[in-house]
Amino acid sequence: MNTAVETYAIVTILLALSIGALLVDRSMRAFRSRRWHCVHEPVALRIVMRTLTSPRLRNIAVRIPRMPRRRLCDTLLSLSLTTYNIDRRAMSALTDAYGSERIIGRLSPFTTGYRRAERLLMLASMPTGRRIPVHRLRHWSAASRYIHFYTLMADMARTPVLAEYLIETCDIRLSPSEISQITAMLHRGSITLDYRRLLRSSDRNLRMTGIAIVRHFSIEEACDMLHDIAASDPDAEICREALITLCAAGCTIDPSLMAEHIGGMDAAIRRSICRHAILNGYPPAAFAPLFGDHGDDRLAALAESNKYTIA
Amino acid sequence: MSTCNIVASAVADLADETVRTTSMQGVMQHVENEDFSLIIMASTRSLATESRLDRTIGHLHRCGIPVFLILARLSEQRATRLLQCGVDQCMTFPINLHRLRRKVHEQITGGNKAGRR
Repeated sequence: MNTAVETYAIVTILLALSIGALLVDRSMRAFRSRRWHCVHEPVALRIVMRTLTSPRLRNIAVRIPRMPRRRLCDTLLSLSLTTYNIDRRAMSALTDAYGSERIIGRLSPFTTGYRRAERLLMLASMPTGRRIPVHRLRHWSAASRYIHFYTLMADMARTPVLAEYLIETCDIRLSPSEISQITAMLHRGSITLDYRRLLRSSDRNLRMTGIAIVRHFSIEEACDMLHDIAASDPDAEICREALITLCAAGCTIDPSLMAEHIGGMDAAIRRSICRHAILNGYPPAAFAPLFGDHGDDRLAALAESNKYTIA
Repeated sequence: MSTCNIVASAVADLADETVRTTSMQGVMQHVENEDFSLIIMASTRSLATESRLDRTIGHLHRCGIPVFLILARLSEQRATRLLQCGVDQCMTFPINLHRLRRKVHEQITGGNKAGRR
């Protein structure tokens, strides 16, 4: 009897202790989070902004006070995702002064899942990155798609001249969201890509990236190349993207040239193309050949249901 | 980290005036009681329903307060409509910090405050 009571008491005490530890841990996390938002975040932002907007960067390491390296990385990441044309010398001076890149690079192989993907994204947005050898980044590749993609991003940031080669040799089929991140990287000036070479390439990832660049920067000179791609590329996804880009640019499209090619594709893809065309103000008759005999009614209904904003 | 904080810290040192970040509702409340040199609305999401945003901008325009708008995505039609509603500058993310600072500086130093409340 006594043994049972003692066991019960011990279990109760252990349970109470574990619940207490859990509550303390939770309150500490909340405290740290509040402290980060109230104290570290404004300080980190102020330091970064002062550095980026200061014309003199000579004594930067002397002027900036101490703060957690991870916080600086978070700030730099947020900043690089929302801005472009930042003075990269100033950013590299900051990361040099705090050694942030070294810390992130050291931690990344030991983290897993989304956290590793986030660290790799941080590395991709760091301005100077030649201290971490490229072959080390490649070892971090894992089964996760996110890690795979952000390894590619970090790799491209480290060696911008190899960006085209890295996209071509990437094992995954890049999604539109991932391609838009590469385009944003190009917009920020981290990498350089020639859209003509990408459009001429036979590789699917490169061609999709080229089309995304043409759409992002509204390059009208590329319309002829996009026409050829839409009329001849065997990949339905690439055809669709090329036609949508042509519609977005407001180019003259001759659907009779591509009727045979696109007419054999999935109905959902053809509907998607027509929807984009009508949203961009093209008349339904222009795309009727893609639907055959019964296409007119459907397109007319689609055009009538679309509501335009009259400025 | 919110984009509003980034924008606020980017323009914080441009003038002697106070920089404040607030929600959409907060703007409407403060506008009734205080005088603003400039209001910058920034959002990476859909800021509000179009008509509500237009009404807010129209109200600020009538009060004589210049408005800068930074959105994630902006079509040409929408930008034209917003400019007609009274927006002084329309921008999309990602933004050029130096350009934003230059525009804000020009607006604050070159703007005519005499017409404001």
